[in-house]
Amino acid sequence: MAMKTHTKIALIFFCLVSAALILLSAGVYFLTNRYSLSDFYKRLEIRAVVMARTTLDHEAASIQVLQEVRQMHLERLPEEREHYFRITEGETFEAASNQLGLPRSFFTRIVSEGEATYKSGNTCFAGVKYASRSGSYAVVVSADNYNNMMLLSNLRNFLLIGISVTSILTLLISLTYANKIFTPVKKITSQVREISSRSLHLRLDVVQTDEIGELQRTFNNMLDRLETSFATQNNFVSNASHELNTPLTAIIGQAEVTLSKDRAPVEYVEALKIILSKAERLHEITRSLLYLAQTGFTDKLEANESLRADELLWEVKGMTDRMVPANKVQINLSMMPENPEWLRVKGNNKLLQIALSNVVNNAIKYSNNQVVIMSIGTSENEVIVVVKDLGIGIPESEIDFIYDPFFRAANTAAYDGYGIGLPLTRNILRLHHGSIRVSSKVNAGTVVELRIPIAR
Amino acid sequence: MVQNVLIPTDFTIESLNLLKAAATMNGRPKSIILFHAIHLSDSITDLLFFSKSKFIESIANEDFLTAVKIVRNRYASIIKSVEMDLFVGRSSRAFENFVAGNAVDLILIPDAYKFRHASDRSIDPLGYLHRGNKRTRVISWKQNPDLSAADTLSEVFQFDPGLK
Repeated sequence: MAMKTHTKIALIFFCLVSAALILLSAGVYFLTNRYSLSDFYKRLEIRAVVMARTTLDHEAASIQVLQEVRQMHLERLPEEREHYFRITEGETFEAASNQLGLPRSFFTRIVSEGEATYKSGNTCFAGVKYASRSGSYAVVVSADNYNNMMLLSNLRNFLLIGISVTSILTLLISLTYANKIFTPVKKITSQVREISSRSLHLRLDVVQTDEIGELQRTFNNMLDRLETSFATQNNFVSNASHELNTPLTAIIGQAEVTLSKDRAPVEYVEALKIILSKAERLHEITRSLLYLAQTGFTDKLEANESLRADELLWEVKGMTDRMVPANKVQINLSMMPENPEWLRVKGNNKLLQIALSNVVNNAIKYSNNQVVIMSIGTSENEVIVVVKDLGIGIPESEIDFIYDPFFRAANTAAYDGYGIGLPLTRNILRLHHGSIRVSSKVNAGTVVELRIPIAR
Repeated sequence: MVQNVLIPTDFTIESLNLLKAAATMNGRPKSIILFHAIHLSDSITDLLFFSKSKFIESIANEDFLTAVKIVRNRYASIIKSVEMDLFVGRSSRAFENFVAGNAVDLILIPDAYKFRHASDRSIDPLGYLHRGNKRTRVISWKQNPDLSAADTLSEVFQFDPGLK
């Protein structure tokens, strides 16, 4: 049964309220019934005692007083009857019980406990044991509990009507209110429907401060992120084209100039050297771009091998030694975990090498080949590699953009680079369920933390 | 026999050099208590809802806890456990009871390092720690002026515990 949420809410509320009302009313009715019965029995007992004293004890003075009291203060109850029976040894009360239509246990209770009560339909019986001068008697007074029946039936009717009316009112009110609560939700639904990839700049109007407002704000945040991400993608394409175009233009230009007239062989050699270096640069860029694209769009790693993270450091140091023989990169193993198995990670060796070497190369480049320290340690469930340099640092205002492809900070003008290293590193780490964190101080240095989960 | 070592902390990574020193002192396994001294509130309602663990959670940041883990993993066979506790007493007698209650065998204090206030309730633990005490050892290390790594995780790699 596909019920709308607001109908469900209203129905639940209605059922709860009705149940509560019914329980309450049942409780009130039941307790009133019990109380009024016990109250009535007490009245009957009083009359029994008075009757006994006036009839069985023939003391003239007290009889008169009692009769007066009886006349003035004890009203005659409906169908009031009085009976008394002598209690003798071995009396079975058979006759008495037949006469009044009461069970014999009633009488035996009077004898043993001194009082007893019984109800048959509307008629209530109360009996007391009275010890008069002429022996023990069982005095029984009966009357119809007419008033209380009236009271109880009135109460019952009132409660029933009250419950019905209140329940219906509750149902109507809760249906209306539930509907009202959902109006802003319906509004959000219709507004969001308008937003498409072409109109991502649209936002919801946030007017409320409650949960609905939170929802609207969160939607707007999500739209901000989507818009940024779409813009980044667009930027990527145009940036990539631009970066690829630059060396190509240089190659074409160089070739055209060289071919424009006859030249000496040494000039051709020069030109070819320039073309070669530009072509290599182009090759570098396309390779990095390919990696970036591949690692950016997949979630799964291919070639999942088990490797030791400290070996990774040595491998990257080796690569760096080949590329920059005069490098001052040091490896600090002072905080390496005692158990080398805690340095074991699962991943793609080549990709991790690229990720780490990008960071190390940046460290060397932007510090003009000063000391770079690679440290490694293990925390609760991650291997942490820290690369620290004493370079030009990253301005605080730009540190949020360092992962944007092709982004280069303002102070990197003197240095060569495409701005692809860090985005690639981050993608690779993400693929390995790890993370990267960069902190930096301009002209003091940069610290890059790479984290990879330990293989369990 | 596991030695119980009491080490004061201000939840900075530099103060963890005491932990490193404890791990490299002698080869015996150790159970470490990192303690921080604070001044408890005077208000009854504050005291009713005060929780040591919540307080510590609020001042111990991620980097500090990660650094502790790194040091523990480095000296896994020596450091059997690291507990973080608060000392909330107000007198040296109370501190002596704290030490006795934790069955402390060894207390490490820094030579030149100044503890910072990790919270506005914090007190300098050096007020309770005396060099002359038979259980105390003084540890010194060179303060590093390198600001670019100040109190970041990379600081944990900086100091070699070989420095005495």
